[in-house]
Amino acid sequence: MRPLMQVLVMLFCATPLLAQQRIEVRRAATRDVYVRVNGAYARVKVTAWSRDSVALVADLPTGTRLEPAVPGPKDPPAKGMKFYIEGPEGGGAATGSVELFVPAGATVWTKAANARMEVNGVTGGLDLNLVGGSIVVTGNPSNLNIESMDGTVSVTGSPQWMRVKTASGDVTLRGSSPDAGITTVGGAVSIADGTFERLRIESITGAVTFAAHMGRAGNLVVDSHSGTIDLQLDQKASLDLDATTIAGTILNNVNARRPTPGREGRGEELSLGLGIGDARVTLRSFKGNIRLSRR
Amino acid sequence: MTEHLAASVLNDLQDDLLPRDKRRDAEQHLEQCESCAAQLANLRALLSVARSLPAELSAPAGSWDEVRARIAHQQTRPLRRRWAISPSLAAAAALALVVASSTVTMLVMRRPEPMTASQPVLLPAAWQASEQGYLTTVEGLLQQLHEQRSQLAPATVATVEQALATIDEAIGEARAALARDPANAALTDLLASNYRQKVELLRRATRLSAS
Repeated sequence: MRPLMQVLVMLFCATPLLAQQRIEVRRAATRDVYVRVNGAYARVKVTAWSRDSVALVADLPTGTRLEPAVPGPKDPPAKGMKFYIEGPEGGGAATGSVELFVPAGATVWTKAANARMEVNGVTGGLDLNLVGGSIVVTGNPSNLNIESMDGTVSVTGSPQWMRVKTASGDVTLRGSSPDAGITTVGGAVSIADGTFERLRIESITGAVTFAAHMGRAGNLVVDSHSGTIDLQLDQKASLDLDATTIAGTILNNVNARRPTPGREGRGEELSLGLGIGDARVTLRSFKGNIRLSRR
Repeated sequence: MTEHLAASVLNDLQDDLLPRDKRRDAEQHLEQCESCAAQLANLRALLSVARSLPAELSAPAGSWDEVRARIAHQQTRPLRRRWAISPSLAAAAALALVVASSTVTMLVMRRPEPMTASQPVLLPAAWQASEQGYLTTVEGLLQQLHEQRSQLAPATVATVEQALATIDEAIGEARAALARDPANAALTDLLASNYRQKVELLRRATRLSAS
């Protein structure tokens, strides 16, 4: 390539970078520091590290303001920090990205309108709030609270306590939890792989697929108005199950027991026990169908 | 005098989370404003009391026996009316609340068509009190959302509207079915689940608009 052409190509590539500003904030922090990130950004990535400090690296469009509420560089390790990102006036949809490094035991609170949120390795608490976009969590946080409207939610790991609420966003969970609750209006819920002790799923129209394992003395409750409930049991499942529909059907491919007509001849009901019946499963649907099968 | 400090500012000031310039502004305001200074003092007093509480509390010995005894007593005694109103009046009140709630929802979210939840069906008396509780909560949240509506993006409003319409349709169908089969426990659970969804959705929407 000719030198002039090379310069032109370099200038062309550099133009978008000139419209960006990189901001870095680094502060000493306690291992359980509480960090809030709120405002106008399109992507936030939170990564746990083994250092006792918090680092925020933001690439933000020119005109965007980052307001950090953090202690001074020579102050003792902070117990709490806040970062507020204010987009440029009349700037339209947020485009900036934020990368946050926190001690693993930190508690992180984030909020955005439309963004991709990604969290890796945090063992403290997570409180993630979003309108649209996506939330991807990998790791084993002690507390995980996610609220989303349209945004999809994907969790891979084993939160000790988990609550996920969406309006139309799909929820995918691969992992385990002793105490989990998922609420969605129209999003599809898919749960696989792990073991659950207490799990409650509520949906209005969203389909629910459960292909995980219920722990000993576990309790699974699924309520749906019109979404299909698909329960895929493993070969060693040991549980007592009650399934009820008001107007839907129940298909049992687990054993030979057939559902009976529901109250007043509408809908269907099925009760069955597998193994020694350690766990308890309750499935209720108004007009969605319920399917039981073996994995 | 500038306007009073927001509760969040007072909380951040107490937690030492305000940026320096905002902290300076807040402290200057506090020097002149007795009301905000009193609120901050109250907050500090509350936190001080909270810090002095024990980390764990165990129930007094024998309290579980007392609870069990009360439950057993309630299960054996005949049902009595807790309200000095007739069942039909209670039903009418519940119906009026449902209609009012759905109307407010329609007005707040500017829905073009009335909701099915307002269909006049007579529900079992046992459910009416629970429903009134949900409806009162929903009404308060709708009012709050109405006041904050301008702070929500149009796309978010559309999402909330659509989700509310879906939930209201489900509530309407479940209510009608429960009126036909009042003793159906599964239906009661499903209807309660629908109402919880509505309350949760409205809470989320108000939290979004409040930020």
